[in-house]
Amino acid sequence: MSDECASIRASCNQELQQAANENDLYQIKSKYLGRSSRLTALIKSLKDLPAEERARSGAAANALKISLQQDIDIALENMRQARTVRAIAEQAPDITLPGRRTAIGTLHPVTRITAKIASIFTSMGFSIVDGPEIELDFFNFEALNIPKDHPARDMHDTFYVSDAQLLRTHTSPVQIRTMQKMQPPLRILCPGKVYRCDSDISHTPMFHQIEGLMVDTHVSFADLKGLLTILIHRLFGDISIRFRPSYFPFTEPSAEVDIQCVMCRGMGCRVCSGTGWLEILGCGLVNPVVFKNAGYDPDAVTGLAFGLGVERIAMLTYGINDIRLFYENDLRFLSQF
Amino acid sequence: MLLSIRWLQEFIDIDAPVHDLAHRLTMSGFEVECVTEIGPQWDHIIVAEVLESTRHPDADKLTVNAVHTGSQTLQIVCGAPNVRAGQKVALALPGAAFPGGLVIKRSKIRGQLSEGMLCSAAELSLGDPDGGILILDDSLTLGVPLADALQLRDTVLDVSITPNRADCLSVLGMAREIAALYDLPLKAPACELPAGGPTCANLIAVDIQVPDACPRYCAAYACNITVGPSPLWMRRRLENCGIRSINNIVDITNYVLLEWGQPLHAFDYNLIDGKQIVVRAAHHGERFTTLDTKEHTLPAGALMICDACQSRALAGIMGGLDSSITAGTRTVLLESAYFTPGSIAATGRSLGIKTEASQRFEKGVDINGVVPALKRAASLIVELNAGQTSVDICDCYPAPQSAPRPIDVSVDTLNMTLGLRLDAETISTYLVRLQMRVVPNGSGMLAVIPPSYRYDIVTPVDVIEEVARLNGYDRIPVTYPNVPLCGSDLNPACEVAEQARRLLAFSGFSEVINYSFQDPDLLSGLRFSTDDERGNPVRLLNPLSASQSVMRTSILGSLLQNLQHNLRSNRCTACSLFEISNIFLQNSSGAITEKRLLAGLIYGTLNTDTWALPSRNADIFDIKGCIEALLTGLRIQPFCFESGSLEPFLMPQSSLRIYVGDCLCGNCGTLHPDITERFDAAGPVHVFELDFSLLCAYHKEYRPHTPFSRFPAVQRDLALLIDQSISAADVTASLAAFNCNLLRQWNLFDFYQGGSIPPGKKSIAFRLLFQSDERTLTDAEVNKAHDKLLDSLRQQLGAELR
Repeated sequence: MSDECASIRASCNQELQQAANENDLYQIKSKYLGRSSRLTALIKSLKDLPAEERARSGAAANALKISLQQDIDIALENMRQARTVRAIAEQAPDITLPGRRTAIGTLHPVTRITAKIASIFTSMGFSIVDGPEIELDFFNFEALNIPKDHPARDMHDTFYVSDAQLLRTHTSPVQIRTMQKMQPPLRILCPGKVYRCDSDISHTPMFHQIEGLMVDTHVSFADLKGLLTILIHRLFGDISIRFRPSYFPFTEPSAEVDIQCVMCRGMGCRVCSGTGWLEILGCGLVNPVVFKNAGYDPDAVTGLAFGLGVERIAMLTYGINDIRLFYENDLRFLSQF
Repeated sequence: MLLSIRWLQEFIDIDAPVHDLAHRLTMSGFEVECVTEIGPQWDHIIVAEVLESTRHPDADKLTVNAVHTGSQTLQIVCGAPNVRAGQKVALALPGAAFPGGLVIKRSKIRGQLSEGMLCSAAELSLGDPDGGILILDDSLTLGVPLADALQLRDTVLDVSITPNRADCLSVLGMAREIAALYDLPLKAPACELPAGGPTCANLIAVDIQVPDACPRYCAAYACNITVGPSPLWMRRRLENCGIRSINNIVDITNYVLLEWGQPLHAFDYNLIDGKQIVVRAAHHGERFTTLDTKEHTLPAGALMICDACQSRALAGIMGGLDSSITAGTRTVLLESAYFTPGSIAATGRSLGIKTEASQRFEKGVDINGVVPALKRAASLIVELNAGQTSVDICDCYPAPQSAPRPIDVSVDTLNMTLGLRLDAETISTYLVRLQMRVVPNGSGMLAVIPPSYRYDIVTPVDVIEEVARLNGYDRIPVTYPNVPLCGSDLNPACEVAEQARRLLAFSGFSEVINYSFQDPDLLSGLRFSTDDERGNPVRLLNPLSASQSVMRTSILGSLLQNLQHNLRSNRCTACSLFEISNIFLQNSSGAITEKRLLAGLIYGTLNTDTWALPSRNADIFDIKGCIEALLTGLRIQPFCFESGSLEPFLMPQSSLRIYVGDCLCGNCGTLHPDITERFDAAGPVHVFELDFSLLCAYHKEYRPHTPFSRFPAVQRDLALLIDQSISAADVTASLAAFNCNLLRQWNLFDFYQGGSIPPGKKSIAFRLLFQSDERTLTDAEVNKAHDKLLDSLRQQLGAELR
């Protein structure tokens, strides 16, 4: 009896080892556990045994049945898992292929820089305002303390549309237009296109400026330095800045702001003409004459104003060396931003 | 302005290193753009003596010379006819480099060794070609570098002078500024008239007929003049400052101009009729020939310097040809005057002339500097042995300027403005260094009187700026505005532009920015009719070129140019561009309005560079789809398309009008092939142009949420056969009008014609969604609604179920 159990056990083990696929295993299962299996025959034959031996042999046969069932199920499960693994491997895509997407476009670098500067100032309570590009002589010059025949007009090579109308040479006229509409205190930022008849490697006849104006009761030159330091540090990181005296008819005191050259870190290079400094914006305290021209009481308010060239900032930010690239609109240029 | 340091040192004892001076000037408002060393161009050129000069054995015109350098004797072959033993000469040693690229080296000339070159004045840039070598003064020491022997060394600063500081357009002006910066005394320049000459009284009479334009006119007389070259030192100084040497008399006027900032003019006195100077305004249409031989028709009001008979000079701008100094001039009338800036600026601009003189008068010269400058010129005539001058001058100054009014400056205001804490004493010190008179009144106020040349100082803030400048901007602290917190106003236009840009970029469009002015041909190429404002653009009066002469009335021309550029230089096969910019419209009465447009363009074969999507040609549905996505993304409602645009540049059967609300917001479609052909496009170009302000007006920051039904929706597909003549929009309109609230949504998911579809018909299929807010729909309910819908489509459109 126990010999027969051992023989079944050995034979099954051998066949399990030889099984090539799940079908083989199902056949083994039916062969060793089915109705006509040796084990079934053995169990059937138990009834003929004496009661004492019947109980013992019955327990052994049952144990064998459970053990065979377990072994076959484990073999089946192993076989099934192996099949799944194989199937996954066979169907696996080359996931290193590029993703499925349509081409996306890019924004112009002038737009990007303008948006960045606008966000810096709107976060400090400045509002974005707009003004016409074809401007009256009054707003572009006279109200800004640049009367006819003023030598400062030489600094602006102006495109004229008629005697009194011109393409604005700077965004400063928006200062006057805004002050005529709004009462102090105010904080405004005006980005926009400006025009000068000048065209060479470092000038395009149209470019972009951002004008800022803050009017309040006690705005000092020290505050101007603080505000622009925030701007420059946000744009270029923690670099050296210097303010040096300059002249704009609409501000006084006026200053030009230099930053440490971003190319050579102040060591002196071609970009900064060896000085280690790069001029990046003009600014000053609002000239009382401008307040008067705009209808404000110059004794009651003080203000600061600044203007910067967007292309200039973009050139320094991205390392662009030719301003004309901005208006060629070559996709090899545009696609980089 | 070019500033010579040696010249400067005649006015001020400054020994600071040049880089320090340049830095201090830059930081006080006088940006030094460039520092040039004068002298290195004469490196390796020394003073030498010719010991012996013999004929070259093999060349008639050459000599072989023994030249002593003080330490050795060299053999030099020379071609100049004037070489003699005993002469001191300029010897260029090997290594000396000349303009034009010549570098001296040891060489053999016709078999004879030559160890250098004897130089002519022209080769040394020290004079004009005269056919011989330069013979130096006997007193010079052998072996000394020529630049030192002739005192040629100098340093020249190129200083940028802001328009308000015309007083610094001179050596004296800069010296005053530097004296203030370094707190040094200024040396008074000598300008006394020499004794012994004639008096002006009977020689010159001045008549100012227009005192508003010419408040002061001074003149001096000089006789026994010998016109000739100026001495080397004067020629060098003028040339280092960018002025060409002419002759001693003209050079003296230019020298004083550079030194004092006061333009002078020298007339040939013999040619001044009636010994009389008349300052008057030009007659209408008067013609005048300036000394550069150009004839001008003068603008009304141009200020003229005349004698008893005729015009002699265009005042403050340029002298006349007829009365200029010539080699034969024996007597001279020197003019030094004050002409008002506006008058000179207007005439100069009208004639398009800009001279050293006019630039200074335009910005304003010192009315009190007129006399000393004239005396300085007269004393130079004597100093240079060019002639003898009158013992006095003629000064016509009918209404002398009244003493300047003091400017009252509050110490508190000054400190508040700058963010400093200076006391009255410190402030006064700064101002006194700038030659201002300061009277404190004890109660925190200072009365400040600027010197006459500082006419830019008029208001208290002008004085405050001067204090800030001398104190140094870098010594003003950095503080932050102490103002109440406030939110910035929303700007919907910025918001919409920002969102539109991002939506378009994600749809594959790249943003471009083009000039606002363009070629009129580009506009006429868009075929605007004569009664269309866009066909009559705003013209620039002074364009840089014809191709930039009119203001854009449409963005499309620029986009086409961008396409052409990328097709040509970049060989791109597909291009999607957009721009948001203002265009400029002018109505029949000339009033100009600006309108912001959003325009875009699609061209070429899409998806050529991806394995994952089939490549295909862009068509009008790409443009239409992108506008649908854009308007949806901007939450603009309602919008719709109407077939057939009226734009002259679009193909009528392949274009659409775009409505936002009830307003026509723009057009899109396929450009006429005749137009696109001109821009090298091989296939169709699809474009759109939208009124940006309407997008802003209809843009919603958010849309309120609508509750949705939780009951299951039933989906039914409806495939219809319809006549070719019936449009998809007709069918959707019928669906929209279908009177059954169970039909919630329909999407056109298939469209087909040809193949198995009978001729004259097309197949169109919708995915319908039926849903109720109150219950789960039964099949019977949905079938009933579906059949009813089909019936109505049959009746309205003759549609059949496919």
